[in-house]
Amino acid sequence: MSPADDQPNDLQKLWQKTGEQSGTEDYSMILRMAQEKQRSLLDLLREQNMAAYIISLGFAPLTAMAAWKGRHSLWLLSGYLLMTATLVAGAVVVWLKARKANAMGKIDLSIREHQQQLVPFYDSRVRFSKSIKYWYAFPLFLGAGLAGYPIGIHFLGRMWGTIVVVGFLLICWVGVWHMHDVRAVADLRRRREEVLHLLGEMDRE
Amino acid sequence: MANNPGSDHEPRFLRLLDGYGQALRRLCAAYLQSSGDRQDLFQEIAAALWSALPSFRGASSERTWVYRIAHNVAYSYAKKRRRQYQSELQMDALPDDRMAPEKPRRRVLLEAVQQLDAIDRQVVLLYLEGLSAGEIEQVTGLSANSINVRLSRLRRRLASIVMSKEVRE
Repeated sequence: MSPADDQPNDLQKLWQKTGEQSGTEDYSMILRMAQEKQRSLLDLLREQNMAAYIISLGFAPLTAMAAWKGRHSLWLLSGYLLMTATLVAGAVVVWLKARKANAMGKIDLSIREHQQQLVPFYDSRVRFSKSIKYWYAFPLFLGAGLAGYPIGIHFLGRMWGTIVVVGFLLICWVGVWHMHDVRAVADLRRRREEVLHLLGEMDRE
Repeated sequence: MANNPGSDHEPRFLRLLDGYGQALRRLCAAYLQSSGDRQDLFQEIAAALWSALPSFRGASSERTWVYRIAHNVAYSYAKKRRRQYQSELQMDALPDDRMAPEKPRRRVLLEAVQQLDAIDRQVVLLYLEGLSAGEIEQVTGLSANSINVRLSRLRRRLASIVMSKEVRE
Protein backbone atom coordinates (compact mmCIF):
# COMPACT_ATOMS: atom_id res chain seq x y z
CA MET A 1 0.00 0.00 0.00
CA SER A 2 1.22 3.43 -0.47
CA PRO A 3 1.11 4.67 3.09
CA ALA A 4 0.10 8.07 1.81
CA ASP A 5 -3.34 6.70 1.00
CA ASP A 6 -5.11 8.49 3.82
CA GLN A 7 -8.37 8.66 1.94
CA PRO A 8 -10.23 5.36 1.79
CA ASN A 9 -10.08 3.89 -1.69
CA ASP A 10 -12.90 2.03 -3.45
CA LEU A 11 -12.04 -1.36 -1.98
CA GLN A 12 -11.89 0.06 1.54
CA LYS A 13 -15.18 1.93 1.09
CA LEU A 14 -16.83 -1.18 -0.29
CA TRP A 15 -15.52 -3.29 2.58
CA GLN A 16 -16.46 -0.85 5.31
CA LYS A 17 -20.02 -0.52 4.02
CA THR A 18 -20.57 -4.14 4.95
CA GLY A 19 -22.63 -4.30 8.09
CA GLU A 20 -23.28 -0.61 8.52
CA GLN A 21 -26.99 -1.11 7.92
CA SER A 22 -27.30 -3.26 11.01
CA GLY A 23 -27.53 -0.03 13.05
CA THR A 24 -26.41 0.54 16.60
CA GLU A 25 -26.09 -2.56 18.68
CA ASP A 26 -26.69 -2.99 22.37
CA TYR A 27 -23.36 -4.29 23.66
CA SER A 28 -24.46 -4.65 27.27
CA MET A 29 -25.44 -8.25 26.52
CA ILE A 30 -21.95 -8.90 25.11
CA LEU A 31 -20.48 -7.31 28.25
CA ARG A 32 -22.44 -9.71 30.45
CA MET A 33 -21.36 -12.65 28.28
CA ALA A 34 -17.70 -11.62 28.48
CA GLN A 35 -17.95 -11.31 32.28
CA GLU A 36 -19.71 -14.66 32.52
CA LYS A 37 -17.18 -16.32 30.24
CA GLN A 38 -14.26 -15.11 32.33
CA ARG A 39 -16.00 -16.23 35.52
CA SER A 40 -16.86 -19.66 34.12
CA LEU A 41 -13.29 -20.17 32.84
CA LEU A 42 -11.87 -19.35 36.26
CA ASP A 43 -14.48 -21.60 37.88
CA LEU A 44 -13.57 -24.43 35.51
CA LEU A 45 -9.86 -24.10 36.29
CA ARG A 46 -10.60 -23.98 40.01
CA GLU A 47 -12.83 -27.06 39.72
CA GLN A 48 -10.21 -28.99 37.75
CA ASN A 49 -7.55 -28.15 40.33
CA MET A 50 -9.93 -28.98 43.14
CA ALA A 51 -10.67 -32.37 41.55
CA ALA A 52 -6.93 -33.06 41.34
CA TYR A 53 -6.46 -32.05 45.01
CA ILE A 54 -9.41 -34.19 46.11
CA ILE A 55 -8.14 -37.25 44.22
CA SER A 56 -4.55 -36.80 45.40
CA LEU A 57 -5.05 -35.61 48.94
CA GLY A 58 -8.18 -37.70 49.47
CA PHE A 59 -6.49 -40.94 48.51
CA ALA A 60 -3.02 -40.22 49.92
CA PRO A 61 -4.10 -40.59 53.61
CA LEU A 62 -5.88 -43.83 52.71
CA THR A 63 -2.84 -45.31 51.00
CA ALA A 64 -0.62 -44.08 53.84
CA MET A 65 -2.94 -45.78 56.34
CA ALA A 66 -2.91 -48.94 54.22
CA ALA A 67 0.92 -48.82 54.19
CA TRP A 68 0.91 -48.64 57.99
CA LYS A 69 -1.55 -51.51 58.25
CA GLY A 70 0.45 -53.60 55.77
CA ARG A 71 3.87 -52.78 57.26
CA HIS A 72 4.47 -56.47 58.00
CA SER A 73 4.65 -57.18 54.22
CA LEU A 74 7.38 -55.58 52.13
CA TRP A 75 5.14 -55.80 49.04
CA LEU A 76 2.23 -53.98 50.67
CA LEU A 77 4.42 -51.44 52.44
CA SER A 78 6.46 -50.49 49.36
CA GLY A 79 3.37 -50.50 47.08
CA TYR A 80 1.24 -48.25 49.28
CA LEU A 81 4.16 -45.95 50.12
CA LEU A 82 4.93 -45.52 46.43
CA MET A 83 1.27 -44.67 45.76
CA THR A 84 1.21 -42.19 48.67
CA ALA A 85 4.37 -40.44 47.51
CA THR A 86 3.07 -40.22 43.93
CA LEU A 87 -0.31 -38.82 44.99
CA VAL A 88 1.27 -36.15 47.20
CA ALA A 89 3.76 -35.24 44.46
CA GLY A 90 0.84 -34.97 41.99
CA ALA A 91 -0.96 -32.47 44.23
CA VAL A 92 2.21 -30.39 44.58
CA VAL A 93 2.70 -30.32 40.78
CA VAL A 94 -0.94 -29.19 40.24
CA TRP A 95 -0.46 -26.42 42.79
CA LEU A 96 2.79 -25.26 41.16
CA LYS A 97 1.23 -25.31 37.68
CA ALA A 98 -1.80 -23.33 38.89
CA ARG A 99 0.58 -20.66 40.22
CA LYS A 100 2.43 -20.50 36.89
CA ALA A 101 -0.72 -20.54 34.73
CA ASN A 102 -1.46 -16.84 35.24
CA ALA A 103 1.88 -15.83 33.76
CA MET A 104 1.12 -17.54 30.41
CA GLY A 105 -1.04 -16.52 27.48
CA LYS A 106 -0.52 -12.85 26.67
CA ILE A 107 -3.00 -12.25 23.89
CA ASP A 108 -2.20 -8.63 23.02
CA LEU A 109 1.14 -9.39 21.36
CA SER A 110 1.56 -8.97 17.63
CA ILE A 111 0.40 -11.94 15.56
CA ARG A 112 4.00 -13.03 14.99
CA GLU A 113 4.96 -12.69 18.67
CA HIS A 114 1.79 -14.50 19.73
CA GLN A 115 2.60 -17.41 17.43
CA GLN A 116 6.25 -17.45 18.53
CA GLN A 117 5.08 -17.60 22.15
CA LEU A 118 3.06 -20.73 21.31
CA VAL A 119 6.12 -22.78 20.25
CA PRO A 120 7.76 -23.00 23.72
CA PHE A 121 4.28 -23.39 25.20
CA TYR A 122 3.64 -26.50 23.07
CA ASP A 123 7.15 -27.78 23.83
CA SER A 124 6.54 -27.48 27.56
CA ARG A 125 3.14 -29.20 27.19
CA VAL A 126 4.84 -32.07 25.34
CA ARG A 127 7.46 -32.35 28.08
CA PHE A 128 4.76 -32.23 30.76
CA SER A 129 2.61 -34.77 28.93
CA LYS A 130 5.53 -37.16 28.63
CA SER A 131 6.86 -36.63 32.13
CA ILE A 132 3.49 -37.08 33.83
CA LYS A 133 3.50 -40.59 32.38
CA TYR A 134 6.84 -41.45 34.01
CA TRP A 135 6.46 -39.50 37.22
CA TYR A 136 2.78 -39.99 37.98
CA ALA A 137 0.89 -42.70 36.08
CA PHE A 138 3.64 -45.34 35.93
CA PRO A 139 4.66 -45.15 39.64
CA LEU A 140 1.01 -45.00 40.73
CA PHE A 141 0.15 -48.20 38.87
CA LEU A 142 3.43 -49.80 39.92
CA GLY A 143 2.50 -49.10 43.54
CA ALA A 144 -0.95 -50.59 42.96
CA GLY A 145 0.70 -53.63 41.35
CA LEU A 146 3.14 -54.11 44.25
CA ALA A 147 0.36 -53.77 46.82
CA GLY A 148 -1.92 -56.08 44.84
CA TYR A 149 0.69 -58.79 44.32
CA PRO A 150 0.30 -60.58 47.70
CA ILE A 151 -3.50 -60.35 47.35
CA GLY A 152 -3.28 -61.92 43.87
CA ILE A 153 -1.06 -64.72 45.17
CA HIS A 154 -3.40 -65.28 48.12
CA PHE A 155 -6.45 -65.80 45.90
CA LEU A 156 -4.99 -67.16 42.65
CA GLY A 157 -1.74 -68.86 43.60
CA ARG A 158 1.79 -67.72 42.77
CA MET A 159 1.70 -68.26 39.00
CA TRP A 160 -1.77 -66.87 38.20
CA GLY A 161 -1.44 -64.11 40.78
CA THR A 162 1.77 -62.95 39.12
CA ILE A 163 0.23 -63.19 35.65
CA VAL A 164 -2.84 -61.15 36.66
CA VAL A 165 -0.82 -58.44 38.42
CA VAL A 166 1.73 -58.12 35.59
CA GLY A 167 -1.10 -58.15 33.03
CA PHE A 168 -2.90 -55.40 34.97
CA LEU A 169 0.28 -53.31 35.01
CA LEU A 170 0.91 -53.83 31.31
CA ILE A 171 -2.64 -52.86 30.35
CA CYS A 172 -2.52 -49.72 32.50
CA TRP A 173 0.90 -48.69 31.18
CA VAL A 174 -0.02 -49.28 27.55
CA GLY A 175 -3.21 -47.23 28.11
CA VAL A 176 -1.24 -44.37 29.66
CA TRP A 177 1.45 -44.56 26.97
CA HIS A 178 -1.22 -44.42 24.26
CA MET A 179 -3.04 -41.48 25.84
CA HIS A 180 0.04 -39.38 26.49
CA ASP A 181 2.46 -40.31 23.72
CA VAL A 182 0.30 -41.27 20.81
CA ARG A 183 -2.72 -39.01 21.20
CA ALA A 184 -1.87 -36.01 23.33
CA VAL A 185 1.71 -35.56 22.16
CA ALA A 186 0.84 -36.11 18.49
CA ASP A 187 -1.89 -33.47 18.73
CA LEU A 188 0.49 -31.00 20.38
CA ARG A 189 3.18 -31.66 17.78
CA ARG A 190 0.68 -31.11 14.97
CA ARG A 191 -0.33 -27.77 16.45
CA ARG A 192 3.32 -26.83 16.84
CA GLU A 193 3.93 -27.68 13.18
CA GLU A 194 1.01 -25.44 12.17
CA VAL A 195 2.50 -22.56 14.12
CA LEU A 196 5.92 -23.09 12.54
CA HIS A 197 4.28 -23.25 9.11
CA LEU A 198 2.51 -19.93 9.75
CA LEU A 199 5.74 -18.32 10.96
CA GLY A 200 7.46 -19.64 7.85
CA GLU A 201 4.73 -18.10 5.72
CA MET A 202 5.24 -14.77 7.46
CA ASP A 203 8.92 -14.83 6.53
CA ARG A 204 8.23 -15.84 2.95
CA GLU A 205 7.90 -12.36 1.42
CA MET B 1 -6.77 5.67 27.17
CA ALA B 2 -6.76 6.04 30.92
CA ASN B 3 -4.19 4.16 32.93
CA ASN B 4 -6.52 3.29 35.76
CA PRO B 5 -7.98 -0.03 34.70
CA GLY B 6 -10.15 -0.92 37.68
CA SER B 7 -12.87 1.67 38.14
CA ASP B 8 -13.94 2.35 34.55
CA HIS B 9 -13.53 -1.15 33.16
CA GLU B 10 -17.14 -1.51 31.98
CA PRO B 11 -17.55 1.89 30.29
CA ARG B 12 -14.14 1.49 28.58
CA PHE B 13 -15.14 -1.93 27.31
CA LEU B 14 -18.50 -0.69 25.99
CA ARG B 15 -16.79 2.27 24.35
CA LEU B 16 -14.35 -0.11 22.63
CA LEU B 17 -17.21 -2.20 21.29
CA ASP B 18 -19.07 0.92 20.15
CA GLY B 19 -15.99 2.05 18.29
CA TYR B 20 -14.82 -1.24 16.84
CA GLY B 21 -17.92 -3.47 16.94
CA GLN B 22 -18.73 -3.17 13.23
CA ALA B 23 -15.11 -3.69 12.20
CA LEU B 24 -14.91 -6.75 14.46
CA ARG B 25 -18.09 -8.16 12.91
CA ARG B 26 -16.53 -7.72 9.46
CA LEU B 27 -13.39 -9.46 10.70
CA CYS B 28 -15.48 -12.38 11.98
CA ALA B 29 -17.22 -12.60 8.61
CA ALA B 30 -13.86 -12.80 6.84
CA TYR B 31 -12.74 -15.71 9.01
CA LEU B 32 -15.90 -17.81 9.20
CA GLN B 33 -18.85 -18.53 7.01
CA SER B 34 -21.62 -19.62 9.35
CA SER B 35 -23.54 -16.94 11.23
CA GLY B 36 -23.46 -18.97 14.45
CA ASP B 37 -19.68 -19.31 14.29
CA ARG B 38 -19.30 -15.60 13.57
CA GLN B 39 -21.40 -14.75 16.60
CA ASP B 40 -19.37 -17.13 18.76
CA LEU B 41 -16.12 -15.66 17.47
CA PHE B 42 -17.35 -12.14 18.17
CA GLN B 43 -18.07 -13.16 21.75
CA GLU B 44 -14.65 -14.81 22.04
CA ILE B 45 -12.98 -11.59 20.88
CA ALA B 46 -15.13 -9.55 23.26
CA ALA B 47 -14.20 -11.86 26.14
CA ALA B 48 -10.49 -11.57 25.25
CA LEU B 49 -10.74 -7.76 25.13
CA TRP B 50 -12.55 -7.76 28.47
CA SER B 51 -9.83 -9.89 30.07
CA ALA B 52 -6.94 -7.94 28.53
CA LEU B 53 -8.36 -4.46 29.11
CA PRO B 54 -6.97 -3.96 32.64
CA SER B 55 -3.44 -4.63 31.35
CA PHE B 56 -3.69 -2.12 28.48
CA ARG B 57 -1.26 0.68 29.31
CA GLY B 58 -1.30 2.57 26.05
CA ALA B 59 2.10 1.32 24.87
CA SER B 60 0.55 0.92 21.42
CA SER B 61 -2.44 2.73 20.00
CA GLU B 62 -5.87 1.48 21.04
CA ARG B 63 -6.64 0.53 17.46
CA THR B 64 -3.56 -1.69 16.95
CA TRP B 65 -4.13 -3.24 20.41
CA VAL B 66 -7.73 -4.16 19.52
CA TYR B 67 -6.75 -5.62 16.15
CA ARG B 68 -3.87 -7.60 17.64
CA ILE B 69 -6.19 -9.30 20.08
CA ALA B 70 -8.96 -9.74 17.52
CA HIS B 71 -6.69 -11.37 14.94
CA ASN B 72 -4.93 -13.61 17.47
CA VAL B 73 -8.28 -14.84 18.78
CA ALA B 74 -9.85 -15.14 15.33
CA TYR B 75 -6.96 -17.12 13.86
CA SER B 76 -6.90 -19.60 16.76
CA TYR B 77 -10.69 -19.89 16.84
CA ALA B 78 -11.02 -20.44 13.08
CA LYS B 79 -8.27 -23.08 13.21
CA LYS B 80 -10.03 -24.86 16.05
CA ARG B 81 -13.38 -24.75 14.25
CA ARG B 82 -11.82 -26.05 11.05
CA ARG B 83 -10.39 -29.00 12.95
CA GLN B 84 -13.66 -29.73 14.74
CA TYR B 85 -16.15 -29.25 11.96
CA GLN B 86 -14.33 -29.67 8.68
CA SER B 87 -17.42 -30.88 6.88
CA GLU B 88 -19.97 -28.96 8.92
CA LEU B 89 -18.49 -25.64 7.85
CA GLN B 90 -19.28 -26.44 4.25
CA MET B 91 -22.84 -27.46 5.06
CA ASP B 92 -23.46 -24.53 7.37
CA ALA B 93 -22.28 -21.79 5.05
CA LEU B 94 -25.18 -19.49 5.80
CA PRO B 95 -25.06 -15.71 5.44
CA ASP B 96 -24.64 -13.78 8.64
CA ASP B 97 -28.03 -12.37 9.58
CA ARG B 98 -26.41 -9.54 11.55
CA MET B 99 -24.68 -8.23 8.45
CA ALA B 100 -26.46 -6.08 5.94
CA PRO B 101 -27.87 -8.06 3.03
CA GLU B 102 -24.82 -8.53 0.84
CA LYS B 103 -24.84 -6.76 -2.47
CA PRO B 104 -23.03 -8.73 -5.16
CA ARG B 105 -19.83 -6.65 -5.11
CA ARG B 106 -19.58 -6.85 -1.34
CA ARG B 107 -20.26 -10.56 -1.42
CA VAL B 108 -17.56 -11.01 -4.06
CA LEU B 109 -15.05 -9.03 -2.01
CA LEU B 110 -15.93 -10.95 1.17
CA GLU B 111 -15.57 -14.31 -0.58
CA ALA B 112 -12.27 -13.28 -2.15
CA VAL B 113 -10.95 -12.26 1.29
CA GLN B 114 -12.19 -15.51 2.86
CA GLN B 115 -10.24 -17.52 0.31
CA LEU B 116 -6.88 -15.90 1.02
CA ASP B 117 -4.33 -17.73 3.15
CA ALA B 118 -4.03 -16.73 6.80
CA ILE B 119 -1.30 -14.09 6.59
CA ASP B 120 -2.59 -12.46 3.42
CA ARG B 121 -6.07 -12.33 4.91
CA GLN B 122 -4.81 -10.65 8.08
CA VAL B 123 -2.83 -8.07 6.13
CA VAL B 124 -5.63 -7.30 3.71
CA LEU B 125 -8.27 -7.08 6.45
CA LEU B 126 -6.20 -4.51 8.32
CA TYR B 127 -5.69 -2.59 5.10
CA LEU B 128 -9.40 -2.67 4.28
CA GLU B 129 -10.19 -1.31 7.74
CA GLY B 130 -7.95 1.64 6.92
CA LEU B 131 -4.86 0.89 9.01
CA SER B 132 -1.61 2.42 7.82
CA ALA B 133 1.40 0.29 6.84
CA GLY B 134 3.03 1.15 10.16
CA GLU B 135 -0.03 0.04 12.09
CA ILE B 136 -0.24 -3.21 10.10
CA GLU B 137 3.42 -3.79 10.97
CA GLN B 138 2.62 -3.34 14.67
CA VAL B 139 -0.37 -5.68 14.55
CA THR B 140 1.18 -8.48 12.51
CA GLY B 141 4.89 -8.26 13.27
CA LEU B 142 5.66 -8.49 9.53
CA SER B 143 8.35 -6.27 8.05
CA ALA B 144 7.30 -3.09 6.23
CA ASN B 145 8.75 -4.49 3.01
CA SER B 146 6.77 -7.70 3.29
CA ILE B 147 3.58 -5.74 3.96
CA ASN B 148 4.09 -3.49 0.95
CA VAL B 149 4.82 -6.43 -1.36
CA ARG B 150 1.82 -8.37 -0.14
CA LEU B 151 -0.54 -5.41 -0.30
CA SER B 152 0.51 -4.40 -3.75
CA ARG B 153 -0.21 -7.93 -5.01
CA LEU B 154 -3.43 -8.35 -2.99
CA ARG B 155 -4.95 -5.00 -3.93
CA ARG B 156 -4.48 -5.76 -7.61
CA ARG B 157 -5.96 -9.21 -7.15
CA LEU B 158 -9.00 -8.09 -5.15
CA ALA B 159 -9.68 -5.13 -7.42
CA SER B 160 -9.59 -7.33 -10.50
CA ILE B 161 -11.93 -9.88 -8.90
CA VAL B 162 -14.45 -7.18 -7.93
CA MET B 163 -14.14 -5.45 -11.30
CA SER B 164 -14.60 -8.65 -13.26
CA LYS B 165 -17.82 -9.26 -11.36
CA GLU B 166 -18.99 -5.74 -12.24
CA VAL B 167 -18.22 -6.24 -15.92
CA ARG B 168 -20.16 -9.51 -15.96
CA GLU B 169 -23.16 -7.73 -14.42
